[in-house]
Amino acid sequence: MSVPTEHLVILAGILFSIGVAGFCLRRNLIVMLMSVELMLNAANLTFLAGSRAHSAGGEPMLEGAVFAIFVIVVAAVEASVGLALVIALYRRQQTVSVDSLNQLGDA
Amino acid sequence: MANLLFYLMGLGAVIGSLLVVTSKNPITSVLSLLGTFFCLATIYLLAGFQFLAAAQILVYGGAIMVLFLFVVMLLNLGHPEEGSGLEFMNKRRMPFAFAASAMLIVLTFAGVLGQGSAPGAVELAHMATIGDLAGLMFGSFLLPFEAASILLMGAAVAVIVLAKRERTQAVER
Amino acid sequence: MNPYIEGMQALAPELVLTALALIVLVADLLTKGKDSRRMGYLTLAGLAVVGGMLALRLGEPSQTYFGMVIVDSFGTFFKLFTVAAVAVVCVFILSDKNERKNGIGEYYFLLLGASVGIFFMVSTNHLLLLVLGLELLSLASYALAGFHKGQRKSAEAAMKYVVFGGLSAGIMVYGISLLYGMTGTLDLAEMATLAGDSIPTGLVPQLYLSAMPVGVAMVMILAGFAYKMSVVPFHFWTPDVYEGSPTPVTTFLAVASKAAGVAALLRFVGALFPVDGVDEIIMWYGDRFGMLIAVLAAVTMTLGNLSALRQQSLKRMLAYSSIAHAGYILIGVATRTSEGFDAAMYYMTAYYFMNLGAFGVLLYFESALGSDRIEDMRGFGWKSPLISIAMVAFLVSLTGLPPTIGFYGKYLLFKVGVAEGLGWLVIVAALNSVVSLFYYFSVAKSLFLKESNDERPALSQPLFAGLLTAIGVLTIFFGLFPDSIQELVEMCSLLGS
Repeated sequence: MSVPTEHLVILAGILFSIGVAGFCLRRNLIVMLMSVELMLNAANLTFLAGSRAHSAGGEPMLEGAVFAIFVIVVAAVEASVGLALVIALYRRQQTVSVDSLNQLGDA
Repeated sequence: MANLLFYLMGLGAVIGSLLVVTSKNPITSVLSLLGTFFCLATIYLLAGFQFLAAAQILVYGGAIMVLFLFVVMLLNLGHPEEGSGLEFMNKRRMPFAFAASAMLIVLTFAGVLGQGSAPGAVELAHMATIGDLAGLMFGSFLLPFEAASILLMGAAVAVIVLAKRERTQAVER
Repeated sequence: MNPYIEGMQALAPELVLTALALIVLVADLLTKGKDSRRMGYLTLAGLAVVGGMLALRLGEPSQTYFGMVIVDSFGTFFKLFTVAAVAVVCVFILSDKNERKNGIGEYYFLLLGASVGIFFMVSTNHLLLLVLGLELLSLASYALAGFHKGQRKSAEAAMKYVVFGGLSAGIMVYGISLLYGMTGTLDLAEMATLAGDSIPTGLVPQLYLSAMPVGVAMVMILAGFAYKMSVVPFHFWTPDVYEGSPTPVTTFLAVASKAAGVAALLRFVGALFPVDGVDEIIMWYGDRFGMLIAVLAAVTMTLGNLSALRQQSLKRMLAYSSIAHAGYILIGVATRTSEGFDAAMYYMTAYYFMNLGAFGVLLYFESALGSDRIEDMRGFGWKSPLISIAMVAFLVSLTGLPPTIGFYGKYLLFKVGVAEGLGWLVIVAALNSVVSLFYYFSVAKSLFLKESNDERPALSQPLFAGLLTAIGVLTIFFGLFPDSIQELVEMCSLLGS
């Protein structure tokens, strides 16, 4: 594949923006967590684009690729903890809407 | 040919992620995200990162998304959310969300195009194999590797703490 | 010697802390969670060992292991800070009435796990290790905030924390990926010095090329630090999470977690944008970055103080006050000088004493009164004079009046701010201190100047009361004799003097 690096970065930027928009727009906590996954994937794509650009025609620079693996770990951790809390919340209130988080706040 | 596949997969990823954000049914969201991840895995493979593509499918598609799907099914949320029209969206934050993502897209384009002498089209000398990554991971990245193991163990304990029933409740019964 | 063995020796405190966490977890399993107090004592003993190991290392020269862990006095300073804070939090847990029924081994495990994360965060210039440490701290904090998930408030606090934490982690990692894409390295020190090859890499050539992409990446990375320090605009979660979490956890979040964010930010700014940077463009860009931090500081402290004015609950009031204090600390960061960093470190130490004390007194009130509303504390000062007088000392220190440690900390910050041309920011901060006087004073007034209509007797908890009184005495002692801490801070200075 001889796609220029810019196009990879732009694709990642678009995915990240969609992730941010989804996080702000949705009320469903599960979809909000999925938007975060989308943002982390955009970061991964950028890491790989960077790794590829820097190892062009020379020594491979794979730090970015290794970072991407760790980002997958981080994503798994965020998702598992977030979903555990969603289950705890659902057990109590039978909803996964962000609107149900109304107990705390300035009176 | 490979280039065409990249643009197709890129388009697929964008459409998939748009569906994640806009679909009313959480199941559709989960499955679209899964599709997005498959498209991204293909792109990783095209870009020459074999192992990342495999990890993307195995860990993201196989584990994380199944976890999401499992929770959606467990909580019996596999139906469109209530309310008509755009009620499942947070209207108050809508202008902010559009402004933020529009700004980010503009910044990305401007930033990338502003990089005058960017490297342009590049090709890896050879695929980044598992061997290459392992050499790095167990060499200069050994410490983060160990730190990640602590992170995962902490996550396991944290999830058990958060999701199990309370001990006091059990005593009261 | 084998570099791995050498590295392991250098990382001995981290290893001992991790081992301690595992021992506590397994010991709790073996005793079936029946004797959670003993786990608390075990944790305290282990923390004492780690603290001793760290104290012996103060003043040793800076060295790098595994190519990414920096063992230096700056890191050791913040590690000692963390160990001491966690130890005090353990005493809080041991003396908290609410915790006795569910203060189980995982509580201590999570606290220790979070400390390991902080240890990694404060001692690295490598962005990968920074992210992993930050994530370990966040993850343990999520679980700690939701520890009383039976209570709706605690579960809600944890949920909000996770959702915003995910957002800030996503933004920060994306920023790092952009920065990596431009410079080709993850090491901050290397990034700052890398010269251009065929492909322009390193920060300097990138900035010459076009400053904007670097700027976007920097602002995004700043989001991660802002979240940990609860700086505007990533402060939303702070009051809610602080209010909903169990009070010992709130103390941990307000003191140890925030200090970790400060330390990591200091390292970040110190590595990339010191005021005497090597290159003209780095200095030009650093000025703008410093200005951004200064503006954030002004907004953060103003917003924190104005919101604190309206609070009825002492816990929420302290939460907003901790936002305001993050703003004060940023003054030192914004100067980007060695003196500014030292002042920020000194203020962090002051913050440590006065907030541990204030949250401890809050916990005491909650146990005694079952409420954290300020008006419920009417006349309490006459019932528990010792603790209430200590509270007044903390409040005076939080306001920044003499003769307390908070006064000297603020004095240092203001002095360096004026010297570095941030006079306007110092004026904003001084006005803010005046505003803060009102709400801090209202607590003191409630304690002493009003009659109590509550007939319940005061609690008798000699260990806890003694600890709080000791912190109160130290708050005043170090205010009168600031030199010892001053020397410690100078010894641990990040940028050297």
